[in-house]
Amino acid sequence: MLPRPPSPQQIRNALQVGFAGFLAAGIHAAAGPDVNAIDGFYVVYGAARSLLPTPEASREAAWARIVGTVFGGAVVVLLTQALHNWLAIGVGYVLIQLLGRRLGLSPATLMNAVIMTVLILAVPAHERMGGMYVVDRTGWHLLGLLLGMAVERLFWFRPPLQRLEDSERGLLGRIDALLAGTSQDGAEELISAYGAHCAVRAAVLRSPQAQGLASEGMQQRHEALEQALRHAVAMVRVPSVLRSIDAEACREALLRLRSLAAAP
Amino acid sequence: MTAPGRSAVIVRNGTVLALVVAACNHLALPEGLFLALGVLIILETDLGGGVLAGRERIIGTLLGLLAVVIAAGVLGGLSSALGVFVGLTLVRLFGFAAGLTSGFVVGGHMVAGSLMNHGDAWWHYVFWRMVMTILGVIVGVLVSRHIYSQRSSSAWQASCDGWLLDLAHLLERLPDSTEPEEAFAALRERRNGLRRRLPQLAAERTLIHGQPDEAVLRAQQQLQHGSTVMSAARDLGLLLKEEAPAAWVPPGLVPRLLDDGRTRIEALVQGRDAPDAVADLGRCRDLLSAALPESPAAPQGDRTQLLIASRLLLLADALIRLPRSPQPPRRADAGR
Repeated sequence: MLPRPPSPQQIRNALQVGFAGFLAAGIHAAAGPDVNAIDGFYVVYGAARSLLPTPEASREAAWARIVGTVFGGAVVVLLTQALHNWLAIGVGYVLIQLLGRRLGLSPATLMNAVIMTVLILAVPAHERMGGMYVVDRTGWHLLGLLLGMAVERLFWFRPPLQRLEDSERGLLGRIDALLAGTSQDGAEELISAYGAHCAVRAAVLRSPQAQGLASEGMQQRHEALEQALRHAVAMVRVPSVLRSIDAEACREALLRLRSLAAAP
Repeated sequence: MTAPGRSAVIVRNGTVLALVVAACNHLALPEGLFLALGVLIILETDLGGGVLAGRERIIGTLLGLLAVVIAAGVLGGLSSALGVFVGLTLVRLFGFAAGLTSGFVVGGHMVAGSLMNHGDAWWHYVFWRMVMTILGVIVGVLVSRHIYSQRSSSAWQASCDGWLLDLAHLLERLPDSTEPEEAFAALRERRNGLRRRLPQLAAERTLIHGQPDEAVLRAQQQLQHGSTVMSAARDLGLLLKEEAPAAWVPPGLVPRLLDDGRTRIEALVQGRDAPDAVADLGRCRDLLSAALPESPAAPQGDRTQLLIASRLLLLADALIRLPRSPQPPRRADAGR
């Protein structure tokens, strides 16, 4: 696969990660010579794990990291009271999986938890530190993750509702291009784009901005977009003799959507 | 996966992980920890998912190595904070350019580990870490393929068959279905889930057969035509609630088509073709095409009727084109 140039948004994201890492390394250096070198790694890696494609994804990943590290660490540290050899790794893995699933932990959280089995039991220095290793690692990680999420908020931040409007504009552009006959999109591409739009909408509904979608006007706007998309997809699929019917219905839905969007 | 199946996978993974760590310690492999982590990443999911995760991990590690070489080697005089800024920025840029979806996190780990924890010994760390990661991914894929293998293809097919059967049941009760919107929304979610898992299927088939084979093509067709059946049925449900079919639509065609559709899907999921249903669907399509008004640019009042006809044609066509599901191979001792 040929490399492709990163988009402006991806370049901004790379600079944010770099800056968060810079701050993390600076804080570690400012903490003085008494702090271990490995703590610098934890805090910088925390920043590197953050700043994912959306703030929601960053938050979920951070939560999974912290809960997984604490849960996995606690199970393994307790286990080491009874078992020390390599067998403990297998037992620890099984225990974490069974207990974690019983507790309803997500796959990402479980993954972070089982990594602790390897990190504690495969590295004698970590095993000697026991609970302190878990506390130390979790604390510095948390600091790095928080730094990453703070940088995410400070620079080029787009609230969920604004992202939804961007996504709607993108979708409308694709439907317009289809109606104008200048689009290469097939039904599958349109469906995927709408799926992505719905994911952004779901993120808004889970956010404090959900109120912004509660009005009847916004609900009608969403329905009009869905209707326009349905007719656009059908336009690609139906026999050519019937295409104009869907095109007409699609234009009407777009018109309704635009008048709703223009309304105060 | 069934509960005993899931438990067996957990035991397999725990055993393999313990053996790998024991072997790494016994052989005193440098940075052997990353071999164990490489194996773990692959085994945490099915074979196709493992192949994708392994690809992300290896490319992310290589890009991390490149970023560290630039930040710590070429620009060696930088302070640790500036080195981290350069390294992390580069690793993300390289990752985006390479089309990674998560591998840049591993690259970031490489940068953080090298610059913050290994000082002047960074080359030893990044080199051995890369070697161990590649070895770990290879071991993980071998285990995932040959020991109690969890295949993306069988899991995907089972989900797809379930989705198609529910679609068939919905066709059966379509005209008088209550709350059809909720049912279609749930089906759409499941379709989106199947679509998201297609890359895993393709990766798995490519690993086994050297290239994406007819199974991937069939899966894409099942999704494509199944999606058309779903949207056509959904529109039809709404349109039929608005108006009954006009006189020019052949009488009894709608229930006949829906019944054929249900029969056809149920047969396809069982690996059969249902030739009678296919022939009748073809007849329905021809009858409807012949009955269409001369000029479809009809006044507003006729539009609903034309949309009904359009969705019936789409439905018939997609049902005819929907491919058969593959059947699991029969065991030699089956039926004895």
